[in-house]
Amino acid sequence: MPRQTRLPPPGYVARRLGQSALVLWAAFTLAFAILYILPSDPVSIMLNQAEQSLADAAQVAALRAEYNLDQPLVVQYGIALWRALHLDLGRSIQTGQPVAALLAQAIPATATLAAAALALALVGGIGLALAGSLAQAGWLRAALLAAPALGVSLPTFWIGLLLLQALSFHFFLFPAMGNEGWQSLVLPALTLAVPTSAAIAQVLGRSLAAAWGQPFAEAIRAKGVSRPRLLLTHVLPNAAVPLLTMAGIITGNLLAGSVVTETVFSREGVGRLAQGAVAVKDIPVVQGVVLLAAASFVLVNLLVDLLYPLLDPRILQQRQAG
Amino acid sequence: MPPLLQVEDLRVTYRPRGQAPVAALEGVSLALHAGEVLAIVGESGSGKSTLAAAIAGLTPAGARLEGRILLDGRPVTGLAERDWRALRGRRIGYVPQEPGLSLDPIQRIGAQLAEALTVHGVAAAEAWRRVPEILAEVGLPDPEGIAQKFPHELSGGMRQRVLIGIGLANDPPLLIADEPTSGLDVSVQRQVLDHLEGLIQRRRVAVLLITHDLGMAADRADRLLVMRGGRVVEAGPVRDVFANPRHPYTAALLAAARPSAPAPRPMPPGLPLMIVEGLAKRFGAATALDGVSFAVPRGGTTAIVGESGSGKTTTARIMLGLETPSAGRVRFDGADVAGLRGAALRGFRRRVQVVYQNPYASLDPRFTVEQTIAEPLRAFGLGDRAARRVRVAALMDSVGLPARLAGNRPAALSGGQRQRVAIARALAIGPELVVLDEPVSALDAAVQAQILALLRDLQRQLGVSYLLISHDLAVVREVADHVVVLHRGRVVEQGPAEALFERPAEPYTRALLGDAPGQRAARRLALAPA
Repeated sequence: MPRQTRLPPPGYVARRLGQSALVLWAAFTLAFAILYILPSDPVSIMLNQAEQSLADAAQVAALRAEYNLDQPLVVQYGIALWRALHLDLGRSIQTGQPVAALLAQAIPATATLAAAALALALVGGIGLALAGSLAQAGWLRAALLAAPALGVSLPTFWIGLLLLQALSFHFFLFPAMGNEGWQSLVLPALTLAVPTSAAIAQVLGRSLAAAWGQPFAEAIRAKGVSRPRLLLTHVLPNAAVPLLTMAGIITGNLLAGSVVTETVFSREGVGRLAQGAVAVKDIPVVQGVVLLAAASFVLVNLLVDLLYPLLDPRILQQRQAG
Repeated sequence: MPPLLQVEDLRVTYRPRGQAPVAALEGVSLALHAGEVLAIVGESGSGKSTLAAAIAGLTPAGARLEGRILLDGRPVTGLAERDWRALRGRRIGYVPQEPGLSLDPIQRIGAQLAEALTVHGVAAAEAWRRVPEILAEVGLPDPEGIAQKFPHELSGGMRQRVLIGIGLANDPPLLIADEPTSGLDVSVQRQVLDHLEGLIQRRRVAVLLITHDLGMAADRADRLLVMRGGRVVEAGPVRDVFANPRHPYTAALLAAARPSAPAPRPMPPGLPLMIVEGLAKRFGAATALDGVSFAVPRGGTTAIVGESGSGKTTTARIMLGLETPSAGRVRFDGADVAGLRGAALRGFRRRVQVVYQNPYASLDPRFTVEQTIAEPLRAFGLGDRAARRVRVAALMDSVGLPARLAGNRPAALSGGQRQRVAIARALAIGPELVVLDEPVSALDAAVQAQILALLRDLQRQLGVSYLLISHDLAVVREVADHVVVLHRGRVVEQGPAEALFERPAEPYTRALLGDAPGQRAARRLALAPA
């Protein structure tokens, strides 16, 4: 018998896309509001930067005009929004390069790092949760279920330093810093993966336990299905829905973690860019990073929303009814 | 010929970590022959579900089994999981309780049915060929279409038919049906059980029917085994047990299940408390109610009876002013309920209270018993803290709740205790009318009887009127003075309870009476009302 695939209806997709655009706009507005209403502006920062504290009024006025700071707030906002819509995020105060170019330069390294960390985290987290769910011996089960809590509470920078100490400085297995080759990716990815995999294992472990407790699990065992098969074909798919909900949080973890990880391992990337920009109050760059983070959140959540109905057919019905 | 299934002195002990062991079964023995239906009757906690789990080898890890279970004369206790898997589904079919929760919610019906076959070595193509056959066999229309559906797209009765199909897919000689109709309407219950009965008779399947419903057991079983506290207190052919119960517990169960004929109470004089006139309600194109009229007299109990979808809940919601009718009106003590605003509406809310169906959902889990009962008093600003305490203590006493439970939260209460809390809460501000929405449908038979007796006592003491919403005719018969039968949004029959039960005028009412569990046995065994 052929299996029909269940695609989300166009209305559902359109609604989700609209909501995504709205969230991005809100993130942009918030970033604009916070950074421009703060009691400092790019011009004074830039002048301080250049140690031209005795800059003359004409120079200041020229800079203010260049950054549209002489315009009313609404006009400034309109101009910034219009430019952002055309992917023009302004120029870095520090280097004068376009922010979009800086981001485009930094994204591949961070994306590679995040993807590697995510792959490690998924394998580790799902594996740990499944092992904990299947383990029969009490002590083993307890150990496997306790491990995630430990992993979540370890700070990223500490894991990074520990790995560096052991695998780079003691055993010389992997380089301690840089962006060269896959070897340089191993330690940062591992560092970033530990807390994420722990979070995945924790959530999945709990929803697996809940799914085992559902009456359908026993009813399926009564058909003669073995526990491992029940786990893989029924319990895990049912338990995966809460995990998908976590995707947004995981993205946040990876982005936030990349700031620390890239700093500890001296890697180029969005995290380093953000860290450097914050240190010198390079406002356009900070704003660009905030927008990028918001965009990746929105993208991930959009994907999750579109995947939900494929994973759990009840979701579409609820949404349509409600 | 040896019995198909033999259980000898079975003892099951659970050992929760760090706690004293709990004995769930204490020496249970039974024998079941091919083609026979044995009903295991007991309340929750009697051990009947543990017995079913033990026979299917599904007792949870940490349970210790002693004694013997023989299937086809071979002992199965202590079998390896691998050998158990070969038995489950193929030699022992299982129809679980809770049809709503016993199918994988995110897998299509066809795949779940096919799995029952492929797991025992049937080739996938052959299994998929048999799926529509099995679905047709359990009486489902459009089997091809149903195979493509997800569980949430089917009704409870349809889901239970699917589960029966799964249970019987491999033609097992033994079928364990664990409360197979829990959560279904009486008429759906009867249809599902009739169909199951036909299937098992044709295939000579032996059935272990686990139920708390003595009426159902009497209708469907050849023999009866009554369990209590992990022991068998009574066993024998249905007719013998009913005619001559030897254990006092069985006698009590029988008394609770027998339709009793309460002494007719005179209709109280005076104007009706509530008058429902020509009520109609449409939801979009669907008509939920059409010209419903009846009166709720003061002091008595009026019951609205109907299956799900009959419009009884919509009627009650309109009567409570929670929903506006498309036409018609409801008058409470002369005033139109739909037109009540402000102080008048507050007065109405104070005079009319509700006890909901599900005591597990209707109590705030974070409130203690005392806080729950005192809530309406606080909301209406009645009394100071000390006065409310005294009132709560009196209310707890009148609904038979021990004072020591005052500080407990709902999680620490039994279902019956929770419903007592809900009743005390409804009575707290001295209402004139209490709407009872399926007040005992979530409770065990024995607890049901206690709650109904309590409701009758309270009515006698307080003179409060009840509006009972129920699909359960045994409950209605127990407490109602006046009965309104609803079917597809219309009143098919109404009148004094006694007359309506003795001489139903309409075919639908007769059919409804015939569906109630125990009615068939009453005819079969000439079971006279006690």
